[in-house]
Amino acid sequence: MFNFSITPLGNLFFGLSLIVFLSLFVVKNENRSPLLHIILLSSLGFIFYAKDLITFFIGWEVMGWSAYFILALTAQKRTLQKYIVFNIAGAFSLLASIVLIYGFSGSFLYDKIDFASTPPYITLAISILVLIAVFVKSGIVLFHHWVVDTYEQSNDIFSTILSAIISKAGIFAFILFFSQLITFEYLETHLFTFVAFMGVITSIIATFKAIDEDNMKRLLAYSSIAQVGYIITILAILSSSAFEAALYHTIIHTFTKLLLFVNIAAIIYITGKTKFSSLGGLLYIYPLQFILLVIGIISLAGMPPLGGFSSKFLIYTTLLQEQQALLLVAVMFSSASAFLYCYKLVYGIYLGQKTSDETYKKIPVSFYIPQILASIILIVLGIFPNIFRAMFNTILESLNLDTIIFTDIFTLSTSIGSFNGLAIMGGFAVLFIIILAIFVSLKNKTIQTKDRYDISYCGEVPDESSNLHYGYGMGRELKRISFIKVILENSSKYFWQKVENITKDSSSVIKKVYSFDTQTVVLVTFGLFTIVLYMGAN
Amino acid sequence: MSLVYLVVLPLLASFLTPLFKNYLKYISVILNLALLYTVFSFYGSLPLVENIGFDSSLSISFVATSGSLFFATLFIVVSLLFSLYNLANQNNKAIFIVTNMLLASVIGLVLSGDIFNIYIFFELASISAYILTSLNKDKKAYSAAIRYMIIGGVASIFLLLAIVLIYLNIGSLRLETIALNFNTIDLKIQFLVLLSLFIGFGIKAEISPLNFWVVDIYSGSSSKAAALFSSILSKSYIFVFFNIAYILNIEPIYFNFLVFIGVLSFVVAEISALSCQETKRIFAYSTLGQIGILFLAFSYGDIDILTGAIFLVAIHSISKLMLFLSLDILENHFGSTSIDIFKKFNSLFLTTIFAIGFLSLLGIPPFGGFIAKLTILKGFASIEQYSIIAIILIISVVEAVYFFRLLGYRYENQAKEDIKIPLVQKLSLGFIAITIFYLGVYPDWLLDISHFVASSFLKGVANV
Amino acid sequence: MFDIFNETSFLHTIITIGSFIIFGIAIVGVLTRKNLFKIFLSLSIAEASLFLYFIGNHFEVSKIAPIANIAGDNITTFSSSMADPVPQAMILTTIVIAIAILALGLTFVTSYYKLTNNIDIDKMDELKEVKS
Repeated sequence: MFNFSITPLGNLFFGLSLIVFLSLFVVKNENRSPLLHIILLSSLGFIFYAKDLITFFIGWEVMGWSAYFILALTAQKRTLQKYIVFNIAGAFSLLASIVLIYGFSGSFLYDKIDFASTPPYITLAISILVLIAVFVKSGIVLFHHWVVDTYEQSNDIFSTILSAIISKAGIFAFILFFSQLITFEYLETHLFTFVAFMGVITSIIATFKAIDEDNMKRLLAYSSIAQVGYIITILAILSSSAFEAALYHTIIHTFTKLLLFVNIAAIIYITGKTKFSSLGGLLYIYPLQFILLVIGIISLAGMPPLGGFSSKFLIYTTLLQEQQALLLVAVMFSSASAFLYCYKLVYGIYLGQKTSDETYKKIPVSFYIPQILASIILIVLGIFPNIFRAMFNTILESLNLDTIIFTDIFTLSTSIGSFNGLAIMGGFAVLFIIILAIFVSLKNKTIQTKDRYDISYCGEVPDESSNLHYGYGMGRELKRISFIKVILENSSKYFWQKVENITKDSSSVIKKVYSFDTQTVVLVTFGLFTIVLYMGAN
Repeated sequence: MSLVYLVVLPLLASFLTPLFKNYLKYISVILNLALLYTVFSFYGSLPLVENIGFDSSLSISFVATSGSLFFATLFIVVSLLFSLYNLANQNNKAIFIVTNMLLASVIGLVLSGDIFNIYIFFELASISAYILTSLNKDKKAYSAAIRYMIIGGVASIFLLLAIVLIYLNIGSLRLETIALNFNTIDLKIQFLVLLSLFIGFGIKAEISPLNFWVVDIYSGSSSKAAALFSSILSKSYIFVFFNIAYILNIEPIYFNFLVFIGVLSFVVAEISALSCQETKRIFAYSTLGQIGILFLAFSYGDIDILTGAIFLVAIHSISKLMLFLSLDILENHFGSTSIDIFKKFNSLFLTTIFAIGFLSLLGIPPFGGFIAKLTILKGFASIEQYSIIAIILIISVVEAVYFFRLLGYRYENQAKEDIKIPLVQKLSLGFIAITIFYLGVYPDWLLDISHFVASSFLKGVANV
Repeated sequence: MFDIFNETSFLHTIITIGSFIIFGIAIVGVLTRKNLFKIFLSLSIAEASLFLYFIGNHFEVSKIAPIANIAGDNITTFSSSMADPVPQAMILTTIVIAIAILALGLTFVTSYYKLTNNIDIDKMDELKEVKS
């Protein structure tokens, strides 16, 4: 009944999922539901290792409802409804496309599916239906209404799984359908613009919404949407270097988000606070956490010397190669703006002055384990950026694409340029040590303010009620730019609420039909009889 | 072993109720097991025509095709599960009598080979249904029973009209004779007969626009009665109607009308369920929607779609039985079935049962309903009916909204009461849930049986 | 002048028209009367009209009752002059079923009346959905 095959692509994705699950398993978690997590992991196995579309779809749906039940332990009802309605709509859209594929190929097995004889409008319909499913799962704009609330209200550990893995299931579906089943040329000629621009629009909108957020988890949720937007954009190109960029960024994003979410989870576990405006100055209490978050931030923003730079480098060079100037500008714009929310993340929690004088306990060791694992992987990827190229070549071969030249594991090279990871890391390390030495020697000679209300350096007298946290209200000033103000003030919420209201109202109206009394029902019966008799007599 | 035993045994048991007053619930389990054994013994010798009394073309006959036996088996299995569930309650004479009458009449409906017997069993089933509606003996139950009787009376008038016209024009009551001679009668009379049959069966089979009575009647009866109605009663009328339609070999244009009726029924029922605030009504709307899909699928005459439809009949019957019986547990505990009871109970077992039932009805893997929906959609894709696929899937999203809203109430933070469920009820409900899961993972055996039944449906009169 | 009443086809026509008129009256009764008893009565009248239509259209003027006296009659002449027994048996069965259902219905009406003192169908609103 189920068909499986071990493919390199499946190995990559399932390996990532397994690492994330196992590293999260050790973290202290109150709402533990091991059965549901095991069901979720096995459904991911079904998705990544399927050999026919039915096994794939079964895994997709089981992932959807097992995530729902895990969510249900902590989320509010409205969020649950949003999550399940969007995901089921996406899943049924996928079912429609699978059934259409069956109608034309006569089989569900990947090997036997052949698009040569399908009329073009059918291929277009199938592609759009698959894209709807991918967009819903990955949180592309217009279908992302469920994502942010779900991430915010779910269990902290489960948010990590959602961000690190479940959004990647959409990516996997995209690769599966558009590289293995439907041919490349179709996507390139017909749908490339649509998909690529949806991706960058998502990134831009999500980035700015992230800057405006005061809640830690919501900021990371928007950041996840933005990063997956980059992956979708680059995947629309469907060439070897584009695939390599996409897969690299997938790996980087998984570990970055693992790091960041567990970090946030630890802070929430200890302090119970989720907003930036109520935190601050935790640097001296939890220095190791701070260092780990900085590693995460550097990787998230795509800065050298860590792994994030390699993937951003690949993305930029691929876009340059393909001469997609507008996309390149948009991605760079979005990446640059991402610095702002990265900065907010680190400043709001650890830097600045403390908001309150509470003393906090130690963070349990189990929270550090996934973070240290992720940061080690990110550092390693910074030093040996080419380490995955051999594996990527295997995957590219399995997808019938050209492989990329592999030189040595220290140098990441593309057709446009290259950089040597070891040299960069070495240079940064030297600089870091020098600057650290300077700071340590100057530490006792600097002047420090006592707390936020220390007025030595400002011209007005603040009172207790004004919130002087640096991270508070960050993004307010951005609203002066009308382009960003439009993004921040509108939301897809309004559209979906209108859809919901229309459906509810039509339901109440249609339901009146069922509340007739007996004699009206009999009258309807006889009326039907007469009308059909009259129609039949002619 | 005669086919008559399948009809006679339950009737005999209900007549002999005063004899075993104290063992009724055990007797019903044993009776259902005996019926199951009897029906299995006919499987080797299909199709089977049994003439009662004397052997000629003028006699009353029972006809067992694979379709009839499939449905008979399904009804006996449902009745067995229902009687197992009832082992936890006290000996109830009324339920025993009426369930057995209902079982005898629906088995007679699917097995009978001439049209007047169909009318008799139709009336017998209606009587059982009326009594079943009124078992609660309160105002709502009697009100529902009276309304049901008036509407059911209209249905039997239409069926009687059809039989009268058939006999006046063809001169025989046996289905095969009618089928062979149906095309010889005047076209207008043909149309009138078919229309009367459609309305007569359609009212009882709960198809739009004749099903405006269903929701109120279900909400007035007890949940056990609603369980029997939605799992046994409506399916039998659908089977008889389509059996006659395929035997009479009617024109494709009539089937197009039935497709339209099916789509209308599905869409209207599911959209109406969104704004409903009482659980029994929500389940009633869901039943109406699934019956719409069944009508739609049965009218296409394509072997794959028909296979999926028969699979769906089996899955839907046992799913609805499970859901209504779980609702019965809640109703006995809380005394009402408004949507609020979902916020108030705390039972992991019931939550799992409801979750499995809802997921199966929506067509979500890995449960049986997914296989049914997939087979039907595969069939539609092969014949390129894309609009129907779109309608079914879009309205299924609407279905998902209200089912998951019910599940979501379960997770609201409110004071919750624990519910004690007797072990035998847990076993019977759990058995149904496991069967639904098993059918989702290993459906091939039931798919093969459904395929066989579907091909016998399509052969039409060659069977009889 | 009254000889045409001996023609089978004329009788059939009268019976058909008459039974449809009665059916029409009965349906009007079901749809417009408010008293529960009147509705059930109208349903009975509708069924009676169908019985009348059926039996009336099987009536032939010169046929004899289908009860054979084997010793005396010749079977072939008997069978060609006997009236069709099937509709008679059928309608007898149906009349019995209809009476049983009517009795059941009247029982429900009585029980309902004992509980609510209401016999008017428009005031039967226990099943209306409670708007919350």
